[in-house]
Amino acid sequence: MANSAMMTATGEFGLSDVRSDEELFLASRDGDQTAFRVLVDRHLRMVRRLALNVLGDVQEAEDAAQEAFIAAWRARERWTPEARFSTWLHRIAVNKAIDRRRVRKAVPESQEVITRLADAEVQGPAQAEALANLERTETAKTLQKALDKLPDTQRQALTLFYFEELEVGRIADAMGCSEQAVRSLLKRGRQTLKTRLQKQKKICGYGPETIRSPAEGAGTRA
Amino acid sequence: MDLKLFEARLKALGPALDRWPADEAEAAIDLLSASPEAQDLFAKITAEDIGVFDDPGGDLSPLAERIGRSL
Repeated sequence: MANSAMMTATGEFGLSDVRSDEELFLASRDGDQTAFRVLVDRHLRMVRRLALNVLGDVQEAEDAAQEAFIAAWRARERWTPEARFSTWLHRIAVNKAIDRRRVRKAVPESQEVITRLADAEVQGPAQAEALANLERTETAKTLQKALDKLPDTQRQALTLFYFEELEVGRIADAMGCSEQAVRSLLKRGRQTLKTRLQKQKKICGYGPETIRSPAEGAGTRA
Repeated sequence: MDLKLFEARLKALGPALDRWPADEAEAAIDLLSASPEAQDLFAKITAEDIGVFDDPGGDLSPLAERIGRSL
C-alpha cells in the first residue's frame, strides 16, 4: 500500500469511518487503498483470532491473517456487493489458517509419507512376512534419506499433494507460490525420488514402478 | 463430524481448536475446509468469544502496517 505511513493504531481509524464495510471495499476496488486500510483496522482483530483458533500459535495466526487480507485485496475485483464483506473475509481467513495448519502438519508426518510409499514399494508377489517387513524397513530408510535430501519446498509440495490430497491451487496458496511453481516442485521431487528408488531396486530387486503418478491418485489436478 | 455436532462441540469447548481432543479437532478442520456454513458458525462463535473475553492480541498496529506494506 503506497500510504502505509498513514497506518495508525488498529481500530481507531477503522471505527472513525462511518462507511459500511461494503462501501469501503467497493471504494478499495476502485483504487482507494486508504479504504482498504480502514477495513484492515476494522477486521484485523477478528481475522487474527479466527486464525489463532485454528492454528493455536500467535505467529502463525498473524501470518495467516496477513495472507487473508492480501488474498482479499487481490480478489477485490471478483467480490460482489451481494455478499457480505465480513462473511467473505472470515471464510478466507479460516481457509488460510487451515492451509497453514496442513502445511505444519505435513512436515512432521513425513515419516508416515515414507511408510505409505514403502508399503506401495513392497507390494507384489507374496513374500514371507519377515522378508516383506525387512524390505519395507529398508525401503522406508531409502525413502527417508531421499526425502531428507530434497529441498524443503519439494518435500512440502509432495507431502501436501499426495497425502494431504490438496489440489495444486491450494498448495500454491499455502506455500505462497504460483501453481506452475508447485507443478515444477512436484515434478522435480518425484524425479529425485524415482532416481533414488531405482538405485534401491538394483540393490534389493524391487523398484519405483508402484509410485503413482498425479493422474492416478491424490491431488488430481497437478 | 456434521454441522450439528460441530455446533454442539463449539458451544461446549469454545472455538480454540487446540483445546479440543486431537481427533475432534481434526474432524472439525475437515468440516471447516469443506463447509462454508461451518466457517460462518465458527466465525460467529469466535466473535462471541471475543465479546465475552478480553482479546489478548494487544496492539495490532505493527501487524496492520505489515499487511499494508505487503499489498
